Amino acid sequence: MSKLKNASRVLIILLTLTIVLALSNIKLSASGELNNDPYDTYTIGLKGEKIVSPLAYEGVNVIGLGLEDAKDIYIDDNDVVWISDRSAKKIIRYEINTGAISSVGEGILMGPTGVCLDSAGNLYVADFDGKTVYKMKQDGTVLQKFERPTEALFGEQSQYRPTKVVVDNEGNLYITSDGNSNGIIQINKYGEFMGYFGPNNVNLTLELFFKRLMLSKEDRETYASLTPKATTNLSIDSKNIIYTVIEGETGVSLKKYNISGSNVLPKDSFFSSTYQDITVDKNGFIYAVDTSQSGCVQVMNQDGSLLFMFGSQKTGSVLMGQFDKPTGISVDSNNNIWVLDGGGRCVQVFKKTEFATIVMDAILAYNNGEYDKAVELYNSIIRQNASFVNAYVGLGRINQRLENYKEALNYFKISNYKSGYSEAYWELRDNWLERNLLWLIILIIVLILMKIFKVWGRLFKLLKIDFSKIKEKLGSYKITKELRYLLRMFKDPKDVFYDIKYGVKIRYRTAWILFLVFILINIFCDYFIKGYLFRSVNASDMNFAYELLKWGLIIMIFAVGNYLISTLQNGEGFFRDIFIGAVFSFAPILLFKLPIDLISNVLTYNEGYLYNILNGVLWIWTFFNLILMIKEIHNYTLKELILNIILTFVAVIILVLLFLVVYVLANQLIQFIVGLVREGVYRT
Amino acid sequence: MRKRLFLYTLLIIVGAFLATILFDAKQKNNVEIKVDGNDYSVSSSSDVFLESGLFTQVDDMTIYNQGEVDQTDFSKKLENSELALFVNDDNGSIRVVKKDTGYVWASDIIDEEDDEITNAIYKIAESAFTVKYLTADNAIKEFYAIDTKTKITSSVSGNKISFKVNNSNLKISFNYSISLIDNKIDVELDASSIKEDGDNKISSITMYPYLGSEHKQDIPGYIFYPSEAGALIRYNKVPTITSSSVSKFYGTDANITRQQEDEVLSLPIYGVVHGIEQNGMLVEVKDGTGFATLTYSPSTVKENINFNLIYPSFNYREQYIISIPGASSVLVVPSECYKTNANIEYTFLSGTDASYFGFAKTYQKTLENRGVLTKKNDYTSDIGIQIEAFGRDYTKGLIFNEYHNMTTTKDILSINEYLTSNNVKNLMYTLRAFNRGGYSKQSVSNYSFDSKLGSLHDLDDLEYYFYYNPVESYSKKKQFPNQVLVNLYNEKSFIQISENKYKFYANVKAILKYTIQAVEKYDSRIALDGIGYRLYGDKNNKYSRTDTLNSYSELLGSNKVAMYKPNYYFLENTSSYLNMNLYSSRFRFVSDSVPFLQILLNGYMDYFSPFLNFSSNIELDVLKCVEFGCNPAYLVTNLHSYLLSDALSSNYYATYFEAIEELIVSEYNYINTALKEVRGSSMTSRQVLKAGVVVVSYSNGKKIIVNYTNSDYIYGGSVVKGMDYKVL
Repeated sequence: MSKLKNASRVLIILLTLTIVLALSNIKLSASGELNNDPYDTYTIGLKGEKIVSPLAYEGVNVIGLGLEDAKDIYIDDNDVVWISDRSAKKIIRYEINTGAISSVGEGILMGPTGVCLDSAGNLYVADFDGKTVYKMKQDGTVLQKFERPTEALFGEQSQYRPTKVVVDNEGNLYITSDGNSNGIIQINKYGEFMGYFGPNNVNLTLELFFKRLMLSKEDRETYASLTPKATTNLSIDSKNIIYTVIEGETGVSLKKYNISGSNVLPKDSFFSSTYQDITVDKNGFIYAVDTSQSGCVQVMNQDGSLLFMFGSQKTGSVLMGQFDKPTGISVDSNNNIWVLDGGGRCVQVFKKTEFATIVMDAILAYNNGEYDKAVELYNSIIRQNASFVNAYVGLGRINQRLENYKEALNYFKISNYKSGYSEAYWELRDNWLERNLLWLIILIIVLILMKIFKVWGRLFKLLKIDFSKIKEKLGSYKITKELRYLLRMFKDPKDVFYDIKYGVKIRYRTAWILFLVFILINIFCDYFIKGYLFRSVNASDMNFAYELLKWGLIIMIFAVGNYLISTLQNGEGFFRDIFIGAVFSFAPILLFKLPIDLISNVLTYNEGYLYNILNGVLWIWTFFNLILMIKEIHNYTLKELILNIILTFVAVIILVLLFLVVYVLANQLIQFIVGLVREGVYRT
Repeated sequence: MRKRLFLYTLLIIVGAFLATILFDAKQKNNVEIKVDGNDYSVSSSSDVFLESGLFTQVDDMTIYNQGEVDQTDFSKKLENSELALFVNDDNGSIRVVKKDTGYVWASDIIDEEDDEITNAIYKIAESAFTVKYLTADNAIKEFYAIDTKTKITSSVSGNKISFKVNNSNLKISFNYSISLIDNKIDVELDASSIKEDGDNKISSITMYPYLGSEHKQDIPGYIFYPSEAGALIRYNKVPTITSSSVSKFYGTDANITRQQEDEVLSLPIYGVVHGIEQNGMLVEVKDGTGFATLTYSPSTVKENINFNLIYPSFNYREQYIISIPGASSVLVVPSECYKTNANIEYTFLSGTDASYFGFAKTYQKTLENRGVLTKKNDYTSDIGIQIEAFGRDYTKGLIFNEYHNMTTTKDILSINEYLTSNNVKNLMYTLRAFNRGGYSKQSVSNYSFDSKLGSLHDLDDLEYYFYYNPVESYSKKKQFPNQVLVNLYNEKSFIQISENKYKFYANVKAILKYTIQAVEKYDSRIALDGIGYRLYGDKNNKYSRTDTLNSYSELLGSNKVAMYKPNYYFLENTSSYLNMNLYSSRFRFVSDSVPFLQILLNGYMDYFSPFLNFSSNIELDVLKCVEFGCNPAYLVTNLHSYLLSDALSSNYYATYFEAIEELIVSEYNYINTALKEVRGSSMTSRQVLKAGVVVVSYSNGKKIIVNYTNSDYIYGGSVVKGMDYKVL
């Protein structure tokens, strides 16, 4: 009965957990609690999460320009805006300073989707429907046409439907083509195909493998394709560095290529999967636009780390900072952001606020080595947003450069910048060791001497403390004897299992206590004992119920699953034996997790491997104990053992699935009843 | 052997542990951040910025000549010394002639020749009203005054003309009347006269949608739109929206709208100017505001055929959709329509009154006569300043929550000492999150002072107000507080602000009960947030929004308290207006921000800016304060704000007093130097000389010239530096 009660409790906790998880993707709305900002701006907070920030860009203008289906925007050095309009089959030219509007390419272009200028002021247009890239004078006179490359290298089957184009300082063209996954098409100024640049990869994950396993042949190509995604849009800076965005990709959807064509940006969870366009300003700040519900426009520093995101996609909105469907982004000479809203048929212009200016100036000052100025600016940022992680990281780095490691450590700790913390800590530890090495050696020598001269023994004798008595006293408790089996697990585990099974030497109660200790040690170590650098969780985020379940279920599901299988498979063990055996199999973790985690406090990432290896050993050891346990408790042959392990694994999966099915059905039932009542109430 | 192994292991562990402790103790000294108060100056002006909707643009003072107006079909029904009212008996449409200028305000289209007016537009424009109704099977349809089945009869008595409307086909009838008072006409729809004898039910009624309409960009002028501080929509700046904007006057009704908050219009008024400082029409929705909407429909909307429109509508029945899992959704139509009269007052103005400034002054007089505003005579010689202190909040610990006492009463005393010794005067303190348990425990019933933060008696010598938000409370999870609002969908209402922050509204009954208790407890030394701008009905306690509105207007009696963004219904009870926006909301169609609220309240109460330390354009906002006569406000904590980064109040990220103390002092003195010259005098005019340069004149003859541009401006022989002001 009590088991049933326990089970139902577990189920309730799991249910609540799942409900909480299911609701986490509701649309975010503006808070407006303190400031009167028209829309929320976000940045990265101290724990790497998305937080609200002071307004970074102020919407200052909306321009109509009579757009129909605008696909791309480019602003040249003379502050002339060029917009490609696919439906209108022309390029619209808008002078920011005079407001003059004109258009080029009418009658030539069949459906332009990409536009850019080279340093000489020549216009390049990617004509998607015309399957051609044009080089034009600014008045629309065609200078050169780039059609499908004829070189064999291009590939016979490869598509040539140019969507976007950029040009480098040498006049080489980089063209993205719809449906061509080989990479960016690189063509030199004579129209010769030079090869594919920066091809995208498919991330071969377990998920992908399972998806491909489950899906039908048709769906497989749509949802789990092995063909890499084609680049969606691209930009080039004055140093010929190419930046790209890839729609439909996650984590690596924004790339910055070095000359050899490999991506230099790390994977970042803030990179969106709905990117439409990317641009880069003279200082190397990266701007991208996507079609997400919150944070459409993103501004990143030179390393691709997010500074600000703002704006949202909302159909039919009448507010600034909301877009029907943004398709392009560009920056003018004053670093105003121009967002092309293809769906809303307009361009919205955003101006940097004082706050954003300070942030960007601080980063530039740091990059230029003007540390005094940077420190001042970073402090100013913190004054305006105490959770702005980039400012603390910046201050930490500067202090590190200036060898103020203690200060640096503080800043890295606040900002949770662990690799920085690790470096600063290494330096500090090094200094400490240098200063205290002598004392350490003396301490060790003293300890050894004490051992040799049996100082402790004599001391205890002097103090009339008799250890043998204490030992005797302790030994008389049953639990002490049982706990000794933990130590015996390291010497002859077979004996232990034998004693569990035939000797009934260990009480159920003791196993339960150890089971609890196992859970608590794990939770306690993960949240409090483990060194800061190795801790991946934060005490304030702890969900105690979840943690209890997580660690408890490891043993419980295994024990139940194994018991169920073993009874069918002529296993000799009772559930009691299996449970106690399983708990004792975790002896390595019970005994060594705490000391290892303690040691991790004085380790840095340089010695991180040590920590990981030790941890690995513990778990592998445990794993072998478990296998041995199954074999001994059930008295299996090797063949039976292997079969049992596989079946136990399957049983565990079935148990989990069973829970999910029950959960889903219960949910449906509740919904059905709620619906029934509601319908009854409102229809009558 | 094993023993020894064990011993050595133990030794190593103990050693490591000792070392860890020793070493870590050195590190864990309180994390302290150095902050220097240096202000980094960033110029924020450029042409595109100054010409944006954040500033007021230069007026086009071209004289507008209406030309000859053909008054056939119209007959004069009412007349006084200022206005004459003409009515078309067939369709009830009206023409109002302003006698001093001869300008004709028409509810129909005067000049029909230019455009191909569709039949649909013709019907709407030529009719006095448009009625939306629901048929028996819940389809929404419309009928108009001009319909042959709609019969309108009118009768005149005194200065009032009454209309009886009956649509025999739909079996719907109602009465309305127009009274002529001075330069106003007062249109009142009698709700008790609404009769629905058939299956058709009225959904909404719109009176005179084309009154004050403007064709293309023919007329120099603008629409005044009551968004935040005030906004203009200039006719010569074509908006880029292609659909109408419909806003409820008092924002979304949380009883009907789920999980969403929309823009709140700051006052129940709007205005139209045809020829700047020539012809103006100020419109106030006096009754029925609780269910009224304001529609702005620009000429870019295809169906409008080049007309710019703005008009109120009254949603006599607010239907809503209930979705049922696994079934189609159900449209719920209330059986009864609202029993509140709809009342619109149109004031016709000419000369300098025909501008947003004139509108503000006219409305000011109206409110003064109504007793809503009372002239303030006890102005101090220096400006005031609001220091909002943030009390406490907690971050989650393993077993107990870790409380951060960000500011205690003793801290406030030391803050006060610092500020007063630096020449900051007339300090007004508001104590936010000083309730029991602090920010996270804020709720409608929690208005007692948390003694962990000291004693209120410490502050006896200061002017302080206890912050209390009876309406909104927050939580990290969707854990509904007691007395939460249950909406029409039978759901406890909530709004998700971010991944781990939820907002909840209290129910109206609790708000009414506890607010009055709190006001009494603190003897009106209370700063009320939320209640001044969030207005909603309450299903369980049977309040419609209009009921809540009426309860709110009587709630505080003659008590005056400090209020955050009070809307019309609380202005009478407001001693200080807090968190007054310096801009309008960023509607895409808005061409200018104007300080309408500031002009309106200038001379009647002190008003305070949003918290300047949270501003992203501090220099600009300080200048705006100078221009608008606005007292500065700051939200501060004694401890560093990053302590809150894990708390529910993590959005309070710029509050650390030590970091901003010098800023507060310098900004206060900067604003005070200008505004103390004009304390107690009222604004008499405001003029934009060029984009970014504004001159505001006061009744004592002083002028404040504010220059938002980066370059110097010469005014009357003296130089006004870029991003600076000058008092003359």
